[in-house]
Amino acid sequence: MSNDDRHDLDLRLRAAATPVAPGRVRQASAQALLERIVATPRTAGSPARPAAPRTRRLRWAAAAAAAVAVTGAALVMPGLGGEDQAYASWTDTPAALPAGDTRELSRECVRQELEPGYGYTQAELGAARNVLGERRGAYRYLSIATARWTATCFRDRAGKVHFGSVMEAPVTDAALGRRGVELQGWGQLRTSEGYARLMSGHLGSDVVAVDVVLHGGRTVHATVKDRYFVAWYPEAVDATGGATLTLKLAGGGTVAGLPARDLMETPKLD
Amino acid sequence: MTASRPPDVTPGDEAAFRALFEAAYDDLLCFVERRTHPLAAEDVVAEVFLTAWRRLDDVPPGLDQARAWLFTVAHHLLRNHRRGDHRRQAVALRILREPGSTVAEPADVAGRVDLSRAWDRLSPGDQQVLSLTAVEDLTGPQAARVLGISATAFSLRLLRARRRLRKFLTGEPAEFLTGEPAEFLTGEPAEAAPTTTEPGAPA
Repeated sequence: MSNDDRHDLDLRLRAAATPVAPGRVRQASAQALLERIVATPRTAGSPARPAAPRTRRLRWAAAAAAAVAVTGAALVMPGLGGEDQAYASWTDTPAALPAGDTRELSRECVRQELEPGYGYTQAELGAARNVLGERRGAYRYLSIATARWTATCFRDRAGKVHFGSVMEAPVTDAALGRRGVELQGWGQLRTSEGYARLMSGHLGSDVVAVDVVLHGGRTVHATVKDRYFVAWYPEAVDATGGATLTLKLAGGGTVAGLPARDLMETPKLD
Repeated sequence: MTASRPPDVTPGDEAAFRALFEAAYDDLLCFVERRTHPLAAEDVVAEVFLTAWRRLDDVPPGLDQARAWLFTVAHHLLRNHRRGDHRRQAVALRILREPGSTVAEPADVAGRVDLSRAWDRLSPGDQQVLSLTAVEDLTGPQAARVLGISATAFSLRLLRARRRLRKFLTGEPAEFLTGEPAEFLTGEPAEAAPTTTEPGAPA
């Protein structure tokens, strides 16, 4: 197909497309939205959600990580061939997060981010099915899984709590069966040190360990407990190549080569 | 400007956000309406702009890049929204108007009908890559970022999608569409299929 053909095809598509209706930004609803947003504090710790009454309760999976910044920041990956600046203390094998630290971070996460932003409560946290945390160097990361929603939070080396992601309507244990996996968090977070890829998920009953295999072959070992897992790693914003998951099964089997991006789109059900 | 500005908001922040909102709202709303239920579109747009407000430092300068950034956020929100709703099938994009919806010459209408039929035969993935560039007017690298893939992979997908659309338009037999010439596969290694091993099975 020649350039002219391509150009012609694009023009035909553009002409046939539903046009952008100009001027809707002038409508009252749009202007009200604008005023609500600019009256909202920009930083965490304050109510972040527009104060408008919501007549429809959407079941959001609003990964804050969806806000993948598209600036061209370069990230130095510790131990991945670069200098050891960003995330210098990060380790590919996690340490357990002590119970007291898990409790503190999860409460802070709800207080600072999830309650003001999404209406999730400390009571729901108290009734969570699973709160799973890990330490990698100076960083703490955890997921909260309730029957209705899941969320992740990250504490950087300076102690700042970052919201990672939320997802509603997780699949059930039964749907995951023995070898299934649902990726419940998969997004990039930006801290003062650069970008990091955060992930969390729910596992089938036979899965006892999870490895994340990065482009280039490096393996990041996830924290796994009671059918849930968490892991994170520094990742350049413009990183190419997809990470895959390897599930290790009770009894020694493995399920390898599961593209993480695909799992975010559709869980692997067993 | 608002009378009661939050303490963490500078006049510059607010002015920059207002300018972005005014410049990009119509395009973003249309982008979202093409991809989700109209009743949900305004909520999605609100969520995207709230994200932009909270992450204003991450929004690139220049309307063109900022618009692409907003589309990227919207794409992720919509994708996750669909997951939350258990509507995992790709949603058909409502990109094209009904062929008879505007006053046009009969030949134009016929051409629109052909295009609409060919479009409907495309996979959602092909529709997505074509719409991001031809309709939403993003550059290849911008569209690649929206989809979270490399620019090279996007170029190849776009090339294939155009070829398939062209072939559907010209009525070439379907078997021509199943195979891709080898040169179009170069540079995009096929993703390995997941493998399962059992205890004691050969690696």
